[in-house]
Amino acid sequence: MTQEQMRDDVSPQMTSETSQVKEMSEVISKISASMAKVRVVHGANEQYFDNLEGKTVGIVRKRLREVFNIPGDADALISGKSVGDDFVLQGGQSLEFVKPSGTKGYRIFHNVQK
Amino acid sequence: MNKFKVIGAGGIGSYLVEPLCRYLSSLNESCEVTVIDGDFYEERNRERQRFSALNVNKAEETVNALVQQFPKIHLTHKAEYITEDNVISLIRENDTVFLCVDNHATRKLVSERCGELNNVTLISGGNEYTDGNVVCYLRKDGQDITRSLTDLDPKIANPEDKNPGEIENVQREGCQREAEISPQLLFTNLAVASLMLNCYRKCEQGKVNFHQVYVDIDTLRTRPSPEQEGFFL
Repeated sequence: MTQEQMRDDVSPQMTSETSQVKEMSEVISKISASMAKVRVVHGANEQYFDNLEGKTVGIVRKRLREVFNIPGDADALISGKSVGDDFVLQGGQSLEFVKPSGTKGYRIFHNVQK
Repeated sequence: MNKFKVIGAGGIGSYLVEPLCRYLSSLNESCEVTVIDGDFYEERNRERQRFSALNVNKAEETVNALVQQFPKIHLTHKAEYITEDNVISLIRENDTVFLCVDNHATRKLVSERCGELNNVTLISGGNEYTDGNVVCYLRKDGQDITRSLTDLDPKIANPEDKNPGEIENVQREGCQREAEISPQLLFTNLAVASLMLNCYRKCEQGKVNFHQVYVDIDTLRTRPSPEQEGFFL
């Protein structure tokens, strides 16, 4: 077998492996990119952001208040746990601003003595 | 006979009943719709609710306006608030309940009553000025298919407000009633009423894969939560 023939035998396998490595690199790259994103949710509004890692919850609340319709008294949750506005966000985290569910428009009756 | 209870005939409930009746009329099934509300129309309701006279009971007025249009539907009303005294008689096995109230105390009462039944569908809606949400609590064969209102929200499980049906008449009439009412917008009421009916449709199809759905009329978005593959039913 000549060197050319041996090269021909090896090339298809290497092409396949190279292709697989390339695919895996792309997948890893996408995963890394998504891990750096911060998911922000309020009610019907949900979006992943690239540039919120390292920012505080308070900054996010202020920036998205109008776009996401976030009320001033909404609680901020990370993984279901309440956090303060000074909490610093990390990539891959999910920040949710919540009002009580199924409870909107609730009112309190007080009986005030004349 | 399929039985439907609409609790609350205010901003949301009053806009839900007519399309519900229209839809049910188109089916070849025997249906009963009962509208339940102890409240009366006041002038301040005019910007969002339809009525022909002041100081008329909301449930009665709602039914009277629709009964001629939908002869196939057995339309009735109860001019009373849901309380511990009447909740067992008003919410029964196999009911579909549309809960359109504005206080946690009644939500808790109704959710807990539904938890006592083997088969029931509870669809609860509420809204702030421009956003709202709908919760679907389903029970089948004695098991929770989705989460109850009290399970989803501890503030409903431990309400700080009062059921208006539990407030003494003397107190309601004789004392100044200081109500912290978040302002309401007609379009949001309509959006929530429509969403409640859409959730009912999903329940009927057996395609419920969420516990609640949010709507925001400012950003024009809706979002079921949590979204998951497959259906509960």
